[in-house]
Amino acid sequence: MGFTSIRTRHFLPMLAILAVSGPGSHSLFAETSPLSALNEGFGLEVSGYNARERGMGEAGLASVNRQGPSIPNPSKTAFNEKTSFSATFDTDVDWLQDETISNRTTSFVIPDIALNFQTRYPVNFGLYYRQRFHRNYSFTPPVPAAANALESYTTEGGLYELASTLAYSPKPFLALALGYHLLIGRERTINDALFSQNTNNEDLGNSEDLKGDTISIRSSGAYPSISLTIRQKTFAIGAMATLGATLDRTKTRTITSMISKETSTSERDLPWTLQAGASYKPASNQTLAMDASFEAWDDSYSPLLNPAYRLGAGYEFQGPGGVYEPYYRKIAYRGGLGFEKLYLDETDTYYLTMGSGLPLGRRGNILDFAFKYGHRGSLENSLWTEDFIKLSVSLTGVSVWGQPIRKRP
Amino acid sequence: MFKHLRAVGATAVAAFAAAALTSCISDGPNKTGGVFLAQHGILLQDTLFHFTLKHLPVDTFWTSEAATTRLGDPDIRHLGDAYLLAGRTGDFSAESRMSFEISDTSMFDTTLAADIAADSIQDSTAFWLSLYFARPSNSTLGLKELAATLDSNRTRDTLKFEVQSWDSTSNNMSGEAWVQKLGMWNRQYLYRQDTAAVGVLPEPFARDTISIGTRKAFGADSTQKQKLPNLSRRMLQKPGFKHFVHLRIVPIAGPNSDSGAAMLRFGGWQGDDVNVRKNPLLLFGNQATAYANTVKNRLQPMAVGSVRAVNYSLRYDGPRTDILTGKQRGLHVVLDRAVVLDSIDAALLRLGKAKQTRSTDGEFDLSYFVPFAKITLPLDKPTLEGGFPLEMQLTTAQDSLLGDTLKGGIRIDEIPDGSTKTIWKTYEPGHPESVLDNVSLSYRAIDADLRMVLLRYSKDSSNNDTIYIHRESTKEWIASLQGYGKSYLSMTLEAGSSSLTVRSYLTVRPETEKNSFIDPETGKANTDLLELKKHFVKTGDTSLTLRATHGFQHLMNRTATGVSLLQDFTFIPVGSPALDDSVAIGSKNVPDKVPYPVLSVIPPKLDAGKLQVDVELYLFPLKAR
Repeated sequence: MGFTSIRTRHFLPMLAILAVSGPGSHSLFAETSPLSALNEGFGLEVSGYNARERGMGEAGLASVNRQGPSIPNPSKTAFNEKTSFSATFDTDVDWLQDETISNRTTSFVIPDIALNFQTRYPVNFGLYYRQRFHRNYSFTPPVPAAANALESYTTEGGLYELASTLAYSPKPFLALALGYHLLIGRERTINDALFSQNTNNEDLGNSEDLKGDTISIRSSGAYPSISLTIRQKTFAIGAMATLGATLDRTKTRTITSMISKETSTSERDLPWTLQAGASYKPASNQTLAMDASFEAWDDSYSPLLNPAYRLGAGYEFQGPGGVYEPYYRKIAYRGGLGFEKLYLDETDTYYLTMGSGLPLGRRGNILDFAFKYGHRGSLENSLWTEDFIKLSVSLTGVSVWGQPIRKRP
Repeated sequence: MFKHLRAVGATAVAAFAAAALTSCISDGPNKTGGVFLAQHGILLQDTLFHFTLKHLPVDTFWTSEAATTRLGDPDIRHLGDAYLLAGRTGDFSAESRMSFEISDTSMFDTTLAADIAADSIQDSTAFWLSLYFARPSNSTLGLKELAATLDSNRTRDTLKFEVQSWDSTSNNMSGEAWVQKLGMWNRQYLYRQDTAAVGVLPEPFARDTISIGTRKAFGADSTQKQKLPNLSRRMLQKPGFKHFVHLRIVPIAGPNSDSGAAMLRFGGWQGDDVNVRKNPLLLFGNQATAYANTVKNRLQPMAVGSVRAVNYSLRYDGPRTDILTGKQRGLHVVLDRAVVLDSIDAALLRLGKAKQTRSTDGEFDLSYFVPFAKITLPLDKPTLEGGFPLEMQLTTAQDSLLGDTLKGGIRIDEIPDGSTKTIWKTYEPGHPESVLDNVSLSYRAIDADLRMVLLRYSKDSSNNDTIYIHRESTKEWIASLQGYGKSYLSMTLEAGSSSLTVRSYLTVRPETEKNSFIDPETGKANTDLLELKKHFVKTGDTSLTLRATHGFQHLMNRTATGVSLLQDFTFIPVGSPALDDSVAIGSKNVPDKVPYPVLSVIPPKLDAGKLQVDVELYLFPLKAR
């Protein structure tokens, strides 16, 4: 019954990865970037793709497969034939560089968990959690500007999304989906200052450090989405659009050992977005995919904000192996590349990806891996550059839980 | 199946390795991007200000004693103490008190019979009851110095004390009634603060005069047995009943020119069994030696709850502004926030620094963070008994009005003689509309000199209390309030002929500053008393400097728009403040705290009745965020 079809042994590799990457990481946050520090934004946007699409250059909006939820394009889940779930795990190494110094940091995060329920009718119901934006950046100057005060800065948190989607396939070639997305924001920026390191000064050696001068921002909002997928035997196209959202934000300042009742409220807008993708199957086990997306950020709130877009393209080779063939012939192999103009500070990102998909048993469960190398920023314009390597792992499980395979008219 | 697992395993190992690699590659705290942050206004270039505010005027100052949670029971902290004080020294005088329950009436009969037989004493005028003292010998710390305070040229060999006795019997009482009576009697006799309360006690039923050897009290054999013939005679009148006996050992004042005083230390309650001989005892029988060996010949102080019924009260008749050890009296130094801020602004101006914008609204000010502060109190020739260095501590709190804990203030009320006034109300936390208790004070004249003050709670009557105060005198009274945690209601009572003046406030955020210091070399807290001694008050010191970081953090943090915030810095001795640094084991000096109560006087230096302090501050300007 249900998810028990994914057997315990399938989780062991995942547990091994978690056991190593989790405790070894410095925090449960993803991808350090100085862009996180900009209060004008919400941090870096997290890809909603799972490891399959990430391995294909973060493309695959229109690439229909038979299992697994889809956060970027819920409509294509209407073509699914079983209830399914997926969870993605990211770990990455960021190499930041400015004009004087470089620094490597590691991080780990679970960016999304999604469920897709099969019903008796050609309607699928989806639920998912994802991290939409994240802040993760800290800075401690190598040489304090003031000799007796070593200040540091940290930002963390982000915008998190809970969504429900309803996907419907009225015709075998057409699927539509509506979604409603709740946004919950938890962001913090923290200033610390150390004085007690002045051990040559008896007074300051016995001083108390300023810990946790913190601005906390809590926000909430919601927006609807619509998506569609049209598929044919050799190609498919898909699109998803979201309306803008207004976030109600509450800002609070707290400082350890001091009292504060400072609270202010404000509103901030998230823009509408449009994503489109196409896929082509030159052979039954090969897929070419290309995606484009646009986010309508403008500079009305801050000149640091700009329209954002992304282009990604990728290729997948699905091993044709049958039940009795060697396992390596059943593995999917992927590759891709892309370009992204971030919504903050006109920052460019270039990336290359590789990936693979490992089937787990005969039901359609799959373990996808993606490896991404990216580069963003420039010393001339951004005053920093960032190179990162990201390893993503998605576990997709399918089940007959709920209703059995539907019969199409 | 195995191929399947092998492939999954191989991939998992690869992922495992990649994950392990990413986890290992880290340079620690991120040091890149500073220019980017600066470009966007996130500057980390703030400077820590450091300056001293000299001669900062003190708004008000006064003294109070620690742990006086209920003035009706002020010496509850000495109840069951290991040491007792008796005698006079300087402006100090102390009386010891103890209660005994004679529940075995055969002690009278058998002992008396034995005495009569042995000494051929035929009537009840023979004494057969004695009071026994001994100084505990388990610690010699500080003893040499305390003995040295007995100036051989001035101190008499013996001091005379009056032993005042109250004796009650179980005549016509049930067992339960007897137990209840014992509790009531102990509260009435044992706990009371000073002889002011005697005014409302019955006259002692018996008075005996005893002489206690002063030098012997500090000698190798300090045991002393003193006969109580008048009490014996009184008790022999009712030998067949249980007895409650309360004794007070009151020093007999000498002439004004008397310089032969001494303050003696005896064992209070040192425990049972092997320590019996270190406790005060009632000895039965004329044959009893200095220490009675048999249980039927000796009686220890009775149990009062979990402690034993020994206590002492210590009076100080010197200036009310003196800081004292032995009484653990502290000096409250109250600073006005507005005055401090003006002084800070002026100091920053002198340093050529820009001052932070002062908050004009809101309840809390986040202009500055105080990493370190210390406050210096000028002293006027401290008198340290035994020459022991004394450890002091600083407690801080904000003075605010009950009902408005955000703003500072002291409430002043006048209560005419014979009347009652409801002064405070306590509220359900977060619900000012829901009154929990009405708290009132009543003022009554007992006689021409003595006044009674009653504290009454409308609901929580268990906290009701009564104190006695001499006319034209002043006392501090601290009351705990339900729902206010460590905060307490502080009252200063000024007993006038026709009315009582009450100055009251609620402490907010009371806190004790750290007394430990970090060793700069090791980074660990220094616990070496010899090292810490430099922070103690020593003979000849002209000032006392204590850490005041939290006090100034709280002072700077609170805006209290439109009302002066009064921050209370209390200089007060720690529980056992005296350090004996003369003890050596072999070639090693092993300092430790003196276990005996040590009576020292630390007067603040006043200038025309006013007090000024120096404050050294480190201020870190907080960003407007």
